[in-house]
Amino acid sequence: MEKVMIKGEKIVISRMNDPSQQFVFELSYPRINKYLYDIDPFTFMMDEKGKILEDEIIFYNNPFNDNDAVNYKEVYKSEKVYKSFEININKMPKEVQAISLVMSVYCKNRNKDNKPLFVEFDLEVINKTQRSTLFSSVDNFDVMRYKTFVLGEIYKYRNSWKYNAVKQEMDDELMKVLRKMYQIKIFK
Amino acid sequence: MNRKECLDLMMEYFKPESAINYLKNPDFELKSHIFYYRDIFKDIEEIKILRISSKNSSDNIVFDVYYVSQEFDGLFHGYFRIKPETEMAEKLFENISKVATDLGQYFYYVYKNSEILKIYLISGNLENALAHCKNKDFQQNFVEIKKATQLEIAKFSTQSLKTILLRRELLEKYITNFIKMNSKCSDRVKMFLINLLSSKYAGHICLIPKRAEIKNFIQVTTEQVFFNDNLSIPIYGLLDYAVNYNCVLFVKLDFDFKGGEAIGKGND
Repeated sequence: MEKVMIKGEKIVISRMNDPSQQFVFELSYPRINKYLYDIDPFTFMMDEKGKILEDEIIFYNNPFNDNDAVNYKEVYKSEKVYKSFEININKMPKEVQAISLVMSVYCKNRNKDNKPLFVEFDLEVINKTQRSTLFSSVDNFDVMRYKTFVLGEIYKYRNSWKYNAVKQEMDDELMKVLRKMYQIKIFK
Repeated sequence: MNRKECLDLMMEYFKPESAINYLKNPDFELKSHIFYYRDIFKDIEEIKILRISSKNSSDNIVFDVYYVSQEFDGLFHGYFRIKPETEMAEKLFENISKVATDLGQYFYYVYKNSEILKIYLISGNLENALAHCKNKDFQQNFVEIKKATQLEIAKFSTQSLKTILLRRELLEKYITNFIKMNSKCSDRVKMFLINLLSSKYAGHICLIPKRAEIKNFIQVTTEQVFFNDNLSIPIYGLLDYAVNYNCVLFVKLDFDFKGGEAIGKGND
């Protein structure tokens, strides 16, 4: 039975010399047309000082980086939306110490309609080499209220890469959250 | 010429007439800003509020100003749409934006960008303005851009093109994210984004991601809007051409991620 991550839980996803270093983080959530909302996942690759290169912020408008370490894909089906990052740790630039997975929540009627709208979204993390599910998680939050959801972070710890299920919903916009949480600096 | 001098001069040559019974003595100052109209027309989708004509009727410059009550967080709470009604008015507004959120600012922008208006306001003579007008004819450039864009589209299969393009129905989301995640947009960029959201152009633009392998596109940074790094191509002329000749233009939004609080900015 696959592992279901809870808030704050940490798990080793790979040792430094493991041959299997490719992972797919796939998010899915229902598509409800009545309220036009959407959830956009971003990955921010940062060094130990929070330095982030603009070109290495991966999302719908920049779906991959130069060294192909992270690839983003999205599929909109009639009932459900699937968005995934394929992360190849072997190709990660050496200076990258952590990868933050954050979601920006767009809601067209946020300022007009204050009724809560809870959306459940699933995360499934697959070890691509072993073709097995490493872990999954289910979250549920009010897209009318929250503008950002910090899903988790992949980070280097001694000779491992670990995943921390942060699962934190925030009222602030994504960039403000990142500046507060990680003191990031964006460089061209 | 500063903005006030320009607007004073405009009032010498143009006569704004209200199209609304209780809107008396319209001007380009107090009654130029969208906030003046917001509460009055909040329940109306779109309404003609002004007809502006040249005082010299033989010059035959006539255009209407509409109030559009749409809202877009971070960009506008209602805007004005300018509709040229005569051929001369069409020439006056050629290659420039026809939407704005402040009429005073807008007419100063028109003055700075329309060679015809510049000469007309100084000489007071439309014939003179047309004779001396150095407005370059960009028609040939537009034809070439259309052809180049069509050739690019033809290179892709329908399926692979689908994976490259961003989703048209999510245009509002893409623009919201652009505004919220980046540094403050210049007035020029804001004006362009309002145009993108207007029903006139929405069907003729297609957003593409940063790394899309497409060479002909309009690039939007927080500071500037330009076609293929060429600042001389008039963007609004190009958009109007796309509408008139039913073609599509690609647009790339360039994120700088300097939104949020102004801390932690990098310079190198």
